[in-house]
Amino acid sequence: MTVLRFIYRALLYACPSGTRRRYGPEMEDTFVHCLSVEWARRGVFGRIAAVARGCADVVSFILRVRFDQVLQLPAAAGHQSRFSRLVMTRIARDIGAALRLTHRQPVFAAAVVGMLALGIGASTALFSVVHGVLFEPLPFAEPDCVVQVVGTMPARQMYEISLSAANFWDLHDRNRTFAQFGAWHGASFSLTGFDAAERLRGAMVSVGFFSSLGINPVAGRLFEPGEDDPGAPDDHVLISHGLWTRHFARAPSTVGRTITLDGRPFLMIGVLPPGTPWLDNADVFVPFVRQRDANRSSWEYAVVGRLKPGVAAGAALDDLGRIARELEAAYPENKGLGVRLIPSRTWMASDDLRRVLWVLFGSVALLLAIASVNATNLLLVRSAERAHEIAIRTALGASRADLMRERLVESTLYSLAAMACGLLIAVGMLTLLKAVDPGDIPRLNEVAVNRLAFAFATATAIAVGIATGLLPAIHAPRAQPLPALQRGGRGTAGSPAQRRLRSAFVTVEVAISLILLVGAGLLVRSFASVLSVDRGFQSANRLLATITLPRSYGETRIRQTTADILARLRNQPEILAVASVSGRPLARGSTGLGIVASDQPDAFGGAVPWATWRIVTPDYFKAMGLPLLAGRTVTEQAAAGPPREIVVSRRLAALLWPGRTAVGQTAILWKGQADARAQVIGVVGDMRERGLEEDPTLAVYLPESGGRTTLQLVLHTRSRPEGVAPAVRAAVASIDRNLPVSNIQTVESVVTDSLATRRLTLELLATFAGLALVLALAGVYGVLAYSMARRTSEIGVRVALGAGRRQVLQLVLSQGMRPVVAGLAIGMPAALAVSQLMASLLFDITPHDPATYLIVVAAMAGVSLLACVLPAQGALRVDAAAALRIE
Amino acid sequence: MTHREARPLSSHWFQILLALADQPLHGLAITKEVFERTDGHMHLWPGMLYGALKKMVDAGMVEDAPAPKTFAAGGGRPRFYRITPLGRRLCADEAARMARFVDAARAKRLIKRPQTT
Repeated sequence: MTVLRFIYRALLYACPSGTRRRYGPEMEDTFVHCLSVEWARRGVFGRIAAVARGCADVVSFILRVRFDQVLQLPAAAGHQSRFSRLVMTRIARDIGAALRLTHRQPVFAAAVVGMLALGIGASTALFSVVHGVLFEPLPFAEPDCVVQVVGTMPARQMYEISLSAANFWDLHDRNRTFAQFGAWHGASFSLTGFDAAERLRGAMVSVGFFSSLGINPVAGRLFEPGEDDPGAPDDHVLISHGLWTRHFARAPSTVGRTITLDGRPFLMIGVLPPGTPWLDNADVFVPFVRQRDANRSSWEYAVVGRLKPGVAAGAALDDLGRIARELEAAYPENKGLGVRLIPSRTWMASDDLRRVLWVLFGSVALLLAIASVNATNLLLVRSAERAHEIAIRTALGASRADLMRERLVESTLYSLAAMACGLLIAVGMLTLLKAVDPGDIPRLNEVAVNRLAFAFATATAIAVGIATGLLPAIHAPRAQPLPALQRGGRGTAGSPAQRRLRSAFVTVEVAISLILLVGAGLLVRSFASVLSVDRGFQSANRLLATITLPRSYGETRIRQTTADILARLRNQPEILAVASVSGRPLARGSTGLGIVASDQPDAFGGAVPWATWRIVTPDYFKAMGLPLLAGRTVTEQAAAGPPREIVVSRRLAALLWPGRTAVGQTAILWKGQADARAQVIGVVGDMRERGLEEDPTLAVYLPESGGRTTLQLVLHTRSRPEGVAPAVRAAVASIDRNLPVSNIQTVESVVTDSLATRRLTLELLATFAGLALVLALAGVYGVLAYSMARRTSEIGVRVALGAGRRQVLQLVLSQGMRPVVAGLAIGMPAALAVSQLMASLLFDITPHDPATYLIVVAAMAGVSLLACVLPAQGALRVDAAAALRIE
Repeated sequence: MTHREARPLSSHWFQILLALADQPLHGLAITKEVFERTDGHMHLWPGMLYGALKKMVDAGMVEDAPAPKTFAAGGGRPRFYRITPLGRRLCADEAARMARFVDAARAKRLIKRPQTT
């Protein structure tokens, strides 16, 4: 606050002294008051906006006061207002002069504006993304009071697990710190009654769920207390804004009508507003009805709560922790189970995404820095070119202040023009980004170049304008009129100080682009490693599809239909293998169990190995391309009764029975919960089930016993899998027309999608690094070419005195490459330090990967040398006689 | 100043006059009162406030006033402002103008009639 008060006071010095004396102190006090009010009620960005608002306010005050003076010119205030008028008219004159210059040298102006526009545009776009994705508040009332409640099991290194139904209701009933408490369970429904059967994402939510979020329905009502009690009508449904728009054209009369889900009529009682998260995650919401003997060991429910007013998150955590300990003492299933709260402001972006966005934002900031340095350099060169003109003007009485002001006005004009172009670039970049949306950047669709982004661009442009104009402004009047006039504007390449300055700029540019290139290089190498990693499964000619059977069919019919579909598909000539599995491969979220060998149940103490389980039909391994390493696959008969037979993955077999044959051994599944015994009948290869970047999953495959309403199919096809999709639809329709086939996707595209964010990050960073490299090379080239042009006569003298091509070349190249080498030397340690920040984004290589550094440094040195070649050729062509004649 | 009377007052001028209508105040007190009365919607930043006050003094709607005897400043002595008869009339005109809109809204049943006591 003290600093801000000081800055404010400094700004007020631009007022006429009378006004300042009269209003200054009171304005300061009022400013501090206003700021402290805003401070108390806003977040980080709001505070920055408040400071900007206050500064804009005082600047407009100053301008108004000054302007009034110029216009009114009251007779009494002679000296002061004439001075003001002078300043105003001079600035107007400077603007005119700068515009005329621009007109005379359009290429120069376009180069400066273009470079700055690129930098400002890219940073504005990334600013919008960072703000929209990470900082924009959620569409809930008082989002600070909303938390998600997740389970933890530190012994198994699990810190974000869903809650079981029974545990949810216990937390719901016993807590003292939450005003609202609700649970969500994903579900799916098939919607009939419209053109074709459609599979809808749905959810079962308890009554407290939407009231915890603090939203209001756009039509109708939400679930009310009592609607999740046993015996309450179970045919009420809330629908999403999306479904309301798609099927009911947002008609208010939708509420009160019925829709058919899974063959049953449901009464629509309300419509939810649109929004991320949760609200757009499903289309239909039915009550999650409390059951007397709810399951305690199956973790399936996402839970949110709204804190009572005035309750801190810490107190709520203590409260829930107390209940968790009570439950742990009462129920063996809850052994080691704790709770954790996730505040709503971190729901949207994972740590990795945060890291990605900040890295990208940092890289555009560096790009902007290079662009600014380059623009400064151009302005410096130009002011050196104009030394002669400036000298004449100095001799005619132009003051140092005049010349400095002129430079600053010019550079600010350029940067404001760049801002205008930059905003267009930013809008274009965002449009492009939304078009290639990798799917896991939340709220990307809501990101826009809004008022805040506009303010950011303006502030950046003004800062850049002053920064790029400052050095030329300070340097401009250094030119001594007499020597400059005598030289007639030719001769050496500006003053030695200016030459050194320009070389220093090239050094900075090279160093910064080295940092960006190293970043991009590390990502490229990581991407290559991810692609070449051993996945375990095959992705060529593999197709996934989902079929949903209505629960209302009853178990026998579901079993029969499933068997029919599998048999029908198996008989297609195009299909080599078909299988169903309980969870889609590479999908997020998985089902897990604790597993031990029956003869050594305590081999791992408390840290029971945790494995993913999948329920599969016999051909699953064939369909996914997992090699069967020992034993045999599951059989359908085995599903009927004990003893249960299982297939395990290789790593799991090696972990449980090291050095022994796993086939034939007995394992205990759901250790500590159900303690079911099962016999190992086969071992299959490992598979990176949770994504290519995760370690291969420990997996247990259980035989399918049928009766599943959601079938996840895996098909191995003879030819291109996309071509088989219509045949699959036709085969299913020939058995039952009402079954929707959805999510048809090739395994190849699932793999590609899972890498989309990594690819996008890589592409963006590589683009920024490439632009930075081009700008830096332009700098290397520009400075050397300019210097060579100014030294033509000097080289002519050298040639005349007997310097050979070799010496001239050496002279030119050593001058050109000196700042490059210095830049590489400085950039290297900087890159080593900065690359640490992206360690978590890398795969299989360290941030200090020597090969990357070597390649980048060599490449930069090589292309810089190329950038020096053109000026060098020019120098070689210097004709000694002609050069000397100019002297 | 006749042209000024014909035009509606800008909203922050109106709020400043309203704040001064019953007692002389200094600048910071005006900001605080306006902030509270508008439930935080109108925040008069100093440039806007003092720029307006300056113009309003020039226009004869507001004048300097001596600090009340009861006022004890922490540090410096802030300047107090008092509404003039002209200011009072303009403020009242504006309020009456707004009241006509409110009446129209009532007539169209957008808002309820005030409780008669």
